[in-house]
Amino acid sequence: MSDHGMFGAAGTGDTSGYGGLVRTPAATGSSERPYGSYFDDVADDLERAYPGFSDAIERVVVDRGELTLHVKREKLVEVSKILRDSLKFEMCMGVSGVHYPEQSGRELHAVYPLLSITNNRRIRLEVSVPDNDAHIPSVVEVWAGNNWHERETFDMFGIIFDGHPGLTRILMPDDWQGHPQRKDYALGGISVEYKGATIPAPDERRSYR
Amino acid sequence: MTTFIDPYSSSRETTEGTVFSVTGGDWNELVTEIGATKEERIVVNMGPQHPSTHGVLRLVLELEGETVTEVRCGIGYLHTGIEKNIEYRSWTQGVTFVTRMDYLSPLFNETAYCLATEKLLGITNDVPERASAIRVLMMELNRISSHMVALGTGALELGAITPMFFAFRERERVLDIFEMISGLRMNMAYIRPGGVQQDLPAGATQKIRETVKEMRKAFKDNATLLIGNSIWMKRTEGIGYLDLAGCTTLGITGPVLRSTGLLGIFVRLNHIAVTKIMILMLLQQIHAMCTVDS
Repeated sequence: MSDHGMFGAAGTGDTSGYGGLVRTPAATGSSERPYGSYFDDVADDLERAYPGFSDAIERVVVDRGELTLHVKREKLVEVSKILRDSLKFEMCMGVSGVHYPEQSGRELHAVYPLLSITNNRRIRLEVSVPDNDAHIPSVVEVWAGNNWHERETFDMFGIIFDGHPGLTRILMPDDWQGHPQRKDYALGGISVEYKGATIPAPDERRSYR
Repeated sequence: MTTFIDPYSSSRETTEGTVFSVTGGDWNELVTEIGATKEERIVVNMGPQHPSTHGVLRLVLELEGETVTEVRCGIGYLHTGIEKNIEYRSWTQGVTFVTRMDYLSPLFNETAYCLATEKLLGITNDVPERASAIRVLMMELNRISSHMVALGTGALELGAITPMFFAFRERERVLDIFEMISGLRMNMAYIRPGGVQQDLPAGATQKIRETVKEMRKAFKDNATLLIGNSIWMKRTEGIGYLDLAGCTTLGITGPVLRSTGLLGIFVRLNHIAVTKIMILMLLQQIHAMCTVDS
């Protein structure tokens, strides 16, 4: 019997016909002015309304027509309040986690998409923290709707949101081990048992050995 | 001394107070027993039960008399790990996953995913205008079918069964169009990065035109059936008050946000690859809304 799987995949167990992801490392520099679109206005307004701008904002990135402000975690709540009250970013559309295992010292990122209905503008805040000290202050006091979103990001990535009114797992069972959306978490990492028979994890199942 | 334990309605003492277990039985006995306790504040575990079958909802309610003072929600194990799966797939294969995220609006999921993918790959401007138009067309049809389910099942849960039959009839019409165009009624993975899976087949435009005509008539029936029903109106109008500030802080958009009085259709003209004709149509629509509102 051949050691190759049913679909002719060898080595990776990937039967999709897709050889594997090639990741280009994320750019680390700041964008140069002028940023274009309304982004210069946003940056100017924030600088005017918030004197600690240069200290709190690590870098300003404009990529693919979208503006991202990288904020130091200690200043996140301050900056959020200014953005909400002075720059009229009334809505925070949640928080997403991103895991960059290769960026040592800043492995975990939290990304907050903001929306200003008043000005029809969208920007993004990004906070990065090291894996061994994954603490970010909660913005639930600024945008209450982020409550469940922060719980989800905690659940999936293990980022701890300090000051959250009740930070518990939201989607996974309370006693779950690990955080499933991290890059180092295996796909289908657990075998499923049904009526006594076990089904192997998908990455093992697909080669039909 | 022997203690009788009623298997359907028993109580036991814990550090948190008396715990009553109710599994469908003698309510009179339970009410008498609860009535004997001094405390007004009781904690009730409601559920797990399913308003939808996937992921059961459990509510832990704190009651003061008949007022709910606090609620904790267990929303069930709904996460399907789609992001993780897509890490191991190509961009095109991802569509098959995201179309299932909300099975009532598969084309919206696909479009959102494809627009993001195209942006990441830098091919946004290479998408043919016809493909963009087909995307918007399909999404609008999908919006109708999705709203029909919402209205139909919404009425059903408030005790009215006829609106559901009417609404699902309209939904079927839309699904027939989807089947004709993509081959599938739901989860069709029709919209792909770079365009759509295939062009509209012969006769599709004609069928859409006919269906739209039929649906216009049927919508009136649907509307009358709901708005004309005083029970439906009493159970939906003025219920669950949420003002503009509440909506913005909770990140609520769509019809609920608009119900607070915020004007108009909130669309990102700059983001969705709409054609010039669509922008014109949209402006007409906004104009019509403003005229009605004022």
